[in-house]
Amino acid sequence: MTETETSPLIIRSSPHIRTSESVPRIMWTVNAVLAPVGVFAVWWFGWKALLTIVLCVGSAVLAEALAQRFRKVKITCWDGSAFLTGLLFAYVMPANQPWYVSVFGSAFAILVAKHAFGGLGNNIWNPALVARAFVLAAWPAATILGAAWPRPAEATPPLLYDLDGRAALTAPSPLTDPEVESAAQWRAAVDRNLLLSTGQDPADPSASKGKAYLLLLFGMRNGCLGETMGFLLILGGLFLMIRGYVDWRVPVFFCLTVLVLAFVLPERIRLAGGGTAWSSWFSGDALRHLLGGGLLIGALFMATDMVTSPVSHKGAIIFAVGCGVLTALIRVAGGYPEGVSYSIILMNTAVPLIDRHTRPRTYGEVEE
Amino acid sequence: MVLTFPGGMHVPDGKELTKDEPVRRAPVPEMVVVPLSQHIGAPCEAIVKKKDEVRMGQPVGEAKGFVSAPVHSPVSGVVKDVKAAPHHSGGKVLSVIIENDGRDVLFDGVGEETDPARLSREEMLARVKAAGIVGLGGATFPAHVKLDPPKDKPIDTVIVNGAECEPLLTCDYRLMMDRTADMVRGADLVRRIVGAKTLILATEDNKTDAAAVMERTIGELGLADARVAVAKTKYPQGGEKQLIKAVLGREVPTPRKRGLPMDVGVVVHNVGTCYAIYQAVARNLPLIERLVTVVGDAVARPGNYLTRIGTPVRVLLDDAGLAAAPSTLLLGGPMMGMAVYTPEVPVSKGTSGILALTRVAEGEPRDCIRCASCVEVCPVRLTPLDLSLASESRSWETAEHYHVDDCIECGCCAFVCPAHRPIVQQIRHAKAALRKIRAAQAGH
Repeated sequence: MTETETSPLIIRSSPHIRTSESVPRIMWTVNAVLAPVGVFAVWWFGWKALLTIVLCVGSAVLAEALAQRFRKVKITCWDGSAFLTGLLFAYVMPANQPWYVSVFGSAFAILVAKHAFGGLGNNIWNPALVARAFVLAAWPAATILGAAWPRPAEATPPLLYDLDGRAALTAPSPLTDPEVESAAQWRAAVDRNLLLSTGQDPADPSASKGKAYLLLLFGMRNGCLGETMGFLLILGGLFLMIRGYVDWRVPVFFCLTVLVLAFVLPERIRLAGGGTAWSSWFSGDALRHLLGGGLLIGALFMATDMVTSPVSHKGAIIFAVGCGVLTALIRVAGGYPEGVSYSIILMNTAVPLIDRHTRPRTYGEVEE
Repeated sequence: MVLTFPGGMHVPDGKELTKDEPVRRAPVPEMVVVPLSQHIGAPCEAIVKKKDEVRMGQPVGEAKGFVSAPVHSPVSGVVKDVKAAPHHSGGKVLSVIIENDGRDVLFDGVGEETDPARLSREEMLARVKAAGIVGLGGATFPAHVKLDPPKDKPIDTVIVNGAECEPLLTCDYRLMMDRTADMVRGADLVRRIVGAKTLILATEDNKTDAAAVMERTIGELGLADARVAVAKTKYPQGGEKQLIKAVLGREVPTPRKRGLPMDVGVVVHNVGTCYAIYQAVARNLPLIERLVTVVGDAVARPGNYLTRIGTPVRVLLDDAGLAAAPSTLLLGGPMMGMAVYTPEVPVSKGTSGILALTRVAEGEPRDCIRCASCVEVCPVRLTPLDLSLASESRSWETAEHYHVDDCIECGCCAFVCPAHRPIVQQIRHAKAALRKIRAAQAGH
C-alpha cells in the first residue's frame, strides 16, 4: 500500500493553486522602480536629499513597527508598504527640509493616516499626501513657503553641490505665479520664470522654452525631491503598467485632463497693486503644467495607489478626470501654484462613492 | 474573431504531463464502493441488500425524484454491505459495497446494440435516464433533466463542452482524440433529443488537434449544421455560461432570476457526457466507467485511466505510483477540485481528475489592498473584494446585495489575490449563511 494511507491529508477550499503575486512583492517592486529617481535626486540636490530620504523612510518603517506593536497585530514593517510611504513622502517634499519635518511627517503618515484607519488597505487617503498636507500646515515657513527650496546649479551640467549657503538664492518654481504690474506683462513673466526655473539665463539668446521643457523632462529644475525627474517617473510608471500594478487609465486621464484644461482655461493673474486679472481662454502653457510641478509623480505614483483608488475601469476614469479637473482649477484659479496633492486627497475621499456608482454589470443581469 | 468572454485569466496548464499518454485501463479492485449520491439532486435509494448477487451494469440505487440519477454496479459480484463510506464531499455517504468476482458478468440487456435512428426521442431520453448519466465535466447535474426542457423554452443550439479549462486535466482531451466518432454521434443524439438545429463542438485553442479531429469526424458522419468552435484558451472557458458567451455571444440570465442556458435557447453538455449518452442509447451501457486524469507533483507516472466508478482513489494512485508523499489529494482540477481526507474515497461519476500534490497555495491572508485584480479576472463581473469583506464581517445582506449568489466559484479571484485572501471560501460561507437565513424565513 502507498504512503497516502498514513500521511495526514490537508483539507482546504479551492482554488488550490495561486499566482506568485504578494503584497510585499508589489510594494518592493514599486520601491525599486522609484529608486532611480532617488539616485537622481541625490545627484541633483546633494547629500541633503539622501538625508531626507533616509529620515523619511526610517521614520515610516519605525512608526509602522510601533503602531503594529501597539495594535497587537503582526509586525509587517518590512513588507515594503511603510517603506514606500516614507519614500513617497520624501519625494513630494523639498530635498533640504528640516529633519523634524521628515521625521514627524512620515510618522504622521503611518500613525494617523494609515494605522488610525486600520492599517494597510483600510486607509481612506494616500498616507504620504496626508503627511504632506499636515507638514505644510504645521511648518509652512520651513516647507513650502520658506527659503528652503533648493535651486538648480548655475552651471550646466549641474554637479553635486551643497545647498547650504545658497538657500537664500531661491529660484522660482516652474509653476510660480509671478506678480506683475499689468496683465499684459504676465505672459512674458511666466516664460521668464520658466527659463529661470530650469537654470537658463533669460538674457542668453540661446535660452528657449523648448529647451526649458526638455530640461524639465529630465529633471533639470527645482521642485520637490522626487518630482523633478519626469523621464524616470514615466519609465517607472510604464514598467508598473506592464506589470499590471498600475491601471494606465489613472495617469493617462489625469494628465490629459490637466493638459486640456491648462490650455483652455484662463489663469488668474496677481497684479502688483493687489488686484486680479485673468489671462485669455485657450492660451495656457499646458506643457509647463505637465512637466513643471508634481503632476507626473502624483498621477503615476500617488493617484494610482491601489488602496485609495476605485476598483473598476469606469471608476478609475472618473477618479482620474476628477483629479485632473481639481488640479487644473487649483492651479489656474486657486491661490496656490500646485494642486496635485490636494486634488488626489479630495478624490480619495470620493472613492467609496465612485465605487458604489460604477459597479460592473453582473453577468446575466439582463435589462428588462 | 477570437471567441472569448470578459474576465478570466491564463493559468499555466501543465497538460503536457498527461495529454499524449495513451489511456490506461485502471485495475478493477476486489471491492468497489458505489455511493448512492454521485449527482446534484436527491440521493438514490438502495435497491439491493447485503449478500445480494449483482451483475455488471445492474442498477443498485434507484433515482428518487426528478432531479436524480440511478447508480449501477460496475462489476459482477456480491453486495457486501450497504453502509456509509468515505465520500468526496467530505463526510460519509450511504454506499453500496460490492465484492468483485472478477468475471464481469453483464446484466440483462447491457451492451445490446440498437440503431439510435430507430428510437424515438422519448425512448432515447428513457435510456439516458436509466443509464444514470450526469454531467461528467464535474457538475454532475442529471443529463436527462437538461435534455428535457419545458415546451416554452425552445432550444436552437447544442454546445458540446470540450474546453477543459482546468489546468492539469486531459481526460476530455483524450476522449476527443480517441473516441471522437462516438462522442460526436452522442452530441448529434443530444441535438435530436432537444430538437435543436445547430450543433457546436467547442474547445480551446490549445487543443487545435482535437478541433481538427472533430471537424473531420463531422464531415465523415455527414452531419449538417454542425461545426467546431475554437475559443481562446482562458480559464474558466469551460464554465457553461462563459462558453455560451464566448461561442454565441449570449448571456444566460442571472441565477437570481432562475436563469438557465435554456432561457437563451442553448443546451450545453460536456464531451464525456455526450460519449456516455451514445453508449447508453446505442449500446444500452449504463454509466459505470469514465476517464480520470491522475496527475500532480506527487504522482510518479501521471496519465489517464479508464476507471470503473466506485474504484477507490488509492487503487489509481498505487498504479500510477507516488514519487513523494502528497499533502493534499484532490478530486477534480486544481482550480475547483475538492480536497478529500482519505484515499479510500471512490471515483464517482463526476471525478475528472485525481491530483496528488505535495504543495498547495499557502500564505497568511492579509487585509485587502483593493488592488482590484479580482475585479479584473471575475468572469461573472462581480467585485469579489466586496464579497470577501462582507463575508468576513458576517454582513450577509451586503454579500447578497453584491450578488454573491451569482458566483460560480471558479477561483480566479483567490488565484490572483496578492493578499492571499480565501475569497472563494468566504463566498461559500456567505452563500451557506444566506441559504440558512432563507430557509428559516421560508419556515415561518
